[in-house]
Amino acid sequence: MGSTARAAGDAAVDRLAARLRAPTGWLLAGLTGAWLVAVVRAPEDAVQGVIQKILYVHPPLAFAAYLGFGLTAVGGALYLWRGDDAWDRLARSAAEVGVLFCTLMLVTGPIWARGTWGRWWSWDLRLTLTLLLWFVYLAYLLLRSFTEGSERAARFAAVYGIAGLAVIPLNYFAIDLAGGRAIHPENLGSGSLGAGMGLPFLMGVLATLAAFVHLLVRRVEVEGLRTRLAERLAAERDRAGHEEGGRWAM
Amino acid sequence: MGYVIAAYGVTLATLVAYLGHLVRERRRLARELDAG
Repeated sequence: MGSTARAAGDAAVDRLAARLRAPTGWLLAGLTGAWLVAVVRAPEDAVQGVIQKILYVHPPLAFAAYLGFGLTAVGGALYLWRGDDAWDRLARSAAEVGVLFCTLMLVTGPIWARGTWGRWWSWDLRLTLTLLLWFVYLAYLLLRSFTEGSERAARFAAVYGIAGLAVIPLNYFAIDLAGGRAIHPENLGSGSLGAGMGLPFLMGVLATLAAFVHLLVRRVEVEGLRTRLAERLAAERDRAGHEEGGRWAM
Repeated sequence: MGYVIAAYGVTLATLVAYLGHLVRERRRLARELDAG
């Protein structure tokens, strides 16, 4: 792909991000309001009591984190295939937003555990694999921040981001893999929620995914502006270098 | 109830703080690009 076509692709991604910013923001505001109302009105669980309402935020955060890491892999694969910087920017942005949601999942889970199990943490397979998933993509972000602007590092990060995805199915099916030794509750299935709990859970998933999309759109936009600024500074440095060289040649 | 408020509070506060960071960063970068 030529540099002109790549630049056109970059501009298209930036334009799309700018166009999506307002509608996703309004969608997020509406869904967040509806979600919080649904959580307040949701019935209390007969066994756990009011603490069970953490269900409407904890698993949705996990879904958003999975989506973020999935998009990191997709962006990385498209970057390796097409060589277009816009895909690398998408991968990097999705990893950052994904790590944020994964962090919140790792914070809300122990809060729930403390209230029900009586302790903040257990080295249960699901919890351990979630921590591993967080470390894998935290390392991705550290790699990107230490190798700013390097094309070679971007290609390595793309491969790493794709390989890291292997932890997600392990994490999702950890309860089955652990057999009867798992402390973490089983994955939700159809009909596993009590009466009146389906709507707040659905609203939680939709609001969290809307938050993910809105933050990702804004993060991609910021990454695009950073790239444009870095390119302009590099061009100015080149021009200054040529002028300096010209003066010495005279 | 305290655990529920803590879980929702930390989630919403963190997401709002990150959103604020992105808004400020976008404005700063746009200003720098306009200045040049």
